[in-house]
Amino acid sequence: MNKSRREFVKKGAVAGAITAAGVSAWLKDQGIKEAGEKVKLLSQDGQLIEVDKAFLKLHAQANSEILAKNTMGREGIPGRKFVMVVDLSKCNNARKCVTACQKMHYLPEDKEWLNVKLMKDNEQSAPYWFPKMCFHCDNPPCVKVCPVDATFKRADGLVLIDNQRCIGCKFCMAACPYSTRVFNWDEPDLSQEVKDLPYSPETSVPSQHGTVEKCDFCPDMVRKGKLPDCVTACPNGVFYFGDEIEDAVTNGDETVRLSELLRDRAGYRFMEDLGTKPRVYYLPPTGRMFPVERGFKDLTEEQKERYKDVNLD
Amino acid sequence: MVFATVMSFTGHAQVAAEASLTYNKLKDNNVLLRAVLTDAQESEPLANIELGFYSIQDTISTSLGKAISNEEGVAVLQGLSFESLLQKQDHTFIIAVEVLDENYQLTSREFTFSDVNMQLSFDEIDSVKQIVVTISTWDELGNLVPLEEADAYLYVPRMFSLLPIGDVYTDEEGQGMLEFPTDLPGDLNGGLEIIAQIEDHDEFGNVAVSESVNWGAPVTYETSKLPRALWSPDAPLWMWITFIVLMVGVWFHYGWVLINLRRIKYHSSDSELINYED
Amino acid sequence: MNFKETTQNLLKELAPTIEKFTWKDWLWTISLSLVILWGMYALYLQIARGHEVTGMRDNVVWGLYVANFIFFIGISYAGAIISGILHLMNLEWRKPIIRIAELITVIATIIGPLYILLCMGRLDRLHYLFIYPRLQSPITWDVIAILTYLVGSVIFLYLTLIRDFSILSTQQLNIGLKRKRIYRFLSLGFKNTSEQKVLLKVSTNIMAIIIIPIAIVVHSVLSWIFGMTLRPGWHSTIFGPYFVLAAVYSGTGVMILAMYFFRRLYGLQRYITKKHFVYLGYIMIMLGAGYGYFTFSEYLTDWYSSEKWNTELIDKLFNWQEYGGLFFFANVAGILLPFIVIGIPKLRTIESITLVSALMVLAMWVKRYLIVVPTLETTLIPMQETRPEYIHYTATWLEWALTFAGIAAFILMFKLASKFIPIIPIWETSESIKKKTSAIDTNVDLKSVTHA
Repeated sequence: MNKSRREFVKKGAVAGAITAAGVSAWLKDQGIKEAGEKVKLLSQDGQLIEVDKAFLKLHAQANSEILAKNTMGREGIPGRKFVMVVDLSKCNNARKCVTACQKMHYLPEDKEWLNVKLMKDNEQSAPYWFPKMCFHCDNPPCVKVCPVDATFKRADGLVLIDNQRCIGCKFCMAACPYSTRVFNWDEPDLSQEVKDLPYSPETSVPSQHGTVEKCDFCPDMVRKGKLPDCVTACPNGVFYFGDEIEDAVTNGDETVRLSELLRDRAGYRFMEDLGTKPRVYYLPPTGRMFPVERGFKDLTEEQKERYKDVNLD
Repeated sequence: MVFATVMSFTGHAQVAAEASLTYNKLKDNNVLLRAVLTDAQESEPLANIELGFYSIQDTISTSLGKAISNEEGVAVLQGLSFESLLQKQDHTFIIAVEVLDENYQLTSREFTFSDVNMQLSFDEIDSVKQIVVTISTWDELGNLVPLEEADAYLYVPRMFSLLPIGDVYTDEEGQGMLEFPTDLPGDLNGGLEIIAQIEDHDEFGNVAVSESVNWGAPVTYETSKLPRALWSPDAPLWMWITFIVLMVGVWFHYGWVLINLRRIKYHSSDSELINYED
Repeated sequence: MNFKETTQNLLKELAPTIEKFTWKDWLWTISLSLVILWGMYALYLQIARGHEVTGMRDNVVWGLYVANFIFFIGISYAGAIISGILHLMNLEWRKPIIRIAELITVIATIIGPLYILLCMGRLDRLHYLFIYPRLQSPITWDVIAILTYLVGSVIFLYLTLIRDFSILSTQQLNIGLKRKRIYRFLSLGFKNTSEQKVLLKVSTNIMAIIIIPIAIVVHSVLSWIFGMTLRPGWHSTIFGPYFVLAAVYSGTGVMILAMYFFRRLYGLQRYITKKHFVYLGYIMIMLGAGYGYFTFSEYLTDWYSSEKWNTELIDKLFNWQEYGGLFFFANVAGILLPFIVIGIPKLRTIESITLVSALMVLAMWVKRYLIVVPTLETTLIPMQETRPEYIHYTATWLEWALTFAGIAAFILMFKLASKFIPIIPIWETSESIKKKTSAIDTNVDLKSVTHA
């Protein structure tokens, strides 16, 4: 697909997200009365849309203020069930996803909410790069064990952490079989501006010392109709993100029906038998775009060390 | 003074620039113009240059607006209404792009586009649901003429992007048909919006129209309240019952013992000695 | 000699420990306090700088603190057997040692949960456990269970103290008037009238009966924090009974140690005799047999299985380069040695039994460590980590300081308690002596009778 056509499709896409109907539904769910009067709003990509005036008023109060309310953090975006598909045949460990996630959440270099493992299922099969993030399971072993309801499952499928509630017992870290959670062992090294940002479980910023954190599927971006940073940062289009209810996922360039993608490419879930019901599907690494060695190209020595136990033959 | 005059003639040479323009007609009849400004010799994008956009009709030129190019040399002018473009009788129009920065030389480039009439309708033929796209243009006299052998791409808007569902190729009557995907989830009533786009056409640019129809699969989603479960905020009822029974059972006995202790105190005698006898 | 005289004799023997605070006592108190202070300094550093000062990291999120927690709650079961079960069986020989048993229970149940507080990242949010609790979490069960158990143990300890308080408040003792008043208040004016006798007996029976299921629930719930988690070596169905049995087992070990030390320190040879050591030793090896059986079953099953995460953990535990040494020690010193020493009559002396108990208690601590740490080092997905502190857990000096501080606090609290309350229950022991001599001539020397 040539560049300008892709750009055009993208523009049409973002505009489509903020429709008048969408805003109406959102206002209703928040229990905010519609003013009845419509105003024209310019969306970020030059789309002229008409929305109820009540939305504009709230919007002007700053998105962040609304996000900061914890009740909103726990309720979820109505009518959605987010899902991610990771195409293992395209991953070559560029690590752009890792750095994008760290940048967005102000994480230091050694803290990875999303990491790339080099998996080798058995001696004969070939190794492949495996990006791993929180799977936002439908039967989450972490949520089960939290004693204070600091980590919770939302109706839109996301599992989030409220780091203002977390007591740091780390039971959820022991309970997660995918070892996806990380802990703030000391005071996070953040600038004062970042520390002053209004907090919400949807932004997961700023990190608090003595609490647990993890990948959150960027619900603050998703609310604005934007894809999480890892999806857009990937140069190979490895991550597909979307809504299970409307049966569509996109990696920024390509949009496909989730059901078709999983059916045609034999999507599976990692360690399915644990019964955690993850919301991230993987597409097997067949017909690979790159040889696995390509993934070592731009790595630092320390990063290469991580994979020393994997036999590349 | 001579020196100054010489300077103005032979002053630093203007950089030659080239521009390309994409014209987008969005589905609500708004227009978006996207110009890419590059250096004519090195083909490097030119950033932070102000560009002016004009609609030209014979000798009349109306300014449509200005935009500044970003690091990739892309300048976008949006929010124009289609009506602001001056058109000839055959529904063609000319857009000119001019560099407003005097350090750069761009022969004001003119781009000609035609308007196109694209209609989306829905029909059920032989009990198969079809999307019908009809495309026509105007001749010199302004009469509608069907456009054949044109490609149009069909999409359904989803939350983050447009889901492609297929494309059509118009016949002699300017019509193309695509079978409607009936199992696609829509809204509560099965409502779906369909977008038809002409993309990257030399004459027509990028044109989009949309229509809604209730042919999608109706979707109901549960209310936000999560069920009683191990992983939800509300514990299963049997857990509560067990817990209450155990707690009441144990602490009741504690209470009983504490009451007995009070009774021991109550039954104390005033004697100094303890009754050691059995 | 009648009951009253027996009681007074016993009181006379115990009087020095209650009346005076000797230089030896000062030595104990100061040295233990120094250890505790060192621990407090470590705690201060941990609060100021965060948990980064410990050896715990993202993979091994629980280390020494949790192992200590399990250990202390485990040894608190000394009270459960001696006081609870043996009370219901009404065995005479246990009477001199019930006080020690109950004190172990109460003190250990106070110190154990303190380690959980040390393990929490946000101590300032401790109260969230009570205002935002989630019933589905094993930690919530644990908090409730331990609180209930603590209250129950304190009540039970108090019940057994009432009669001694009444003796202390009415007899000749060289203690201040204020202290006598405290004893009088605590004795609830118990004069052994017929109504009071019945009330006390009923209450003690109720508590003895109810403390047993509570104790079982407490350690089961603690075990389920591990047993219900998807990790190798933890996700096992026998964890509930396994932990309860291990707890009772380690409780008897600490019981023997406490008996030995108080016997030596306060010259209680007359009341705590070789019989006590031997009988407790028998109980110990019976429990040890059960515990050994559970251990064998657990590891045999894991070793026999083919699931990768189980085999990886077993390899770690059996490998001499890794945890093999500790594993060997925990099982040999923890199970086999007590059997040999107590099982063979020639080897059965008070000293050898005490020594083997000490080793067993240490082995049980190592076992708790082996339950917590190697499992967390065995992740289900490849770790692919280069930072050594993330791959392998090494406790820092801070964690050791706080471990020893906890042990010191345990000993100190015991020592201070023994200064305030008689370490041998005067009433019960006198009753026991009286029963023995009631069939014999009252002129028989007390000494020869109590030497069983």
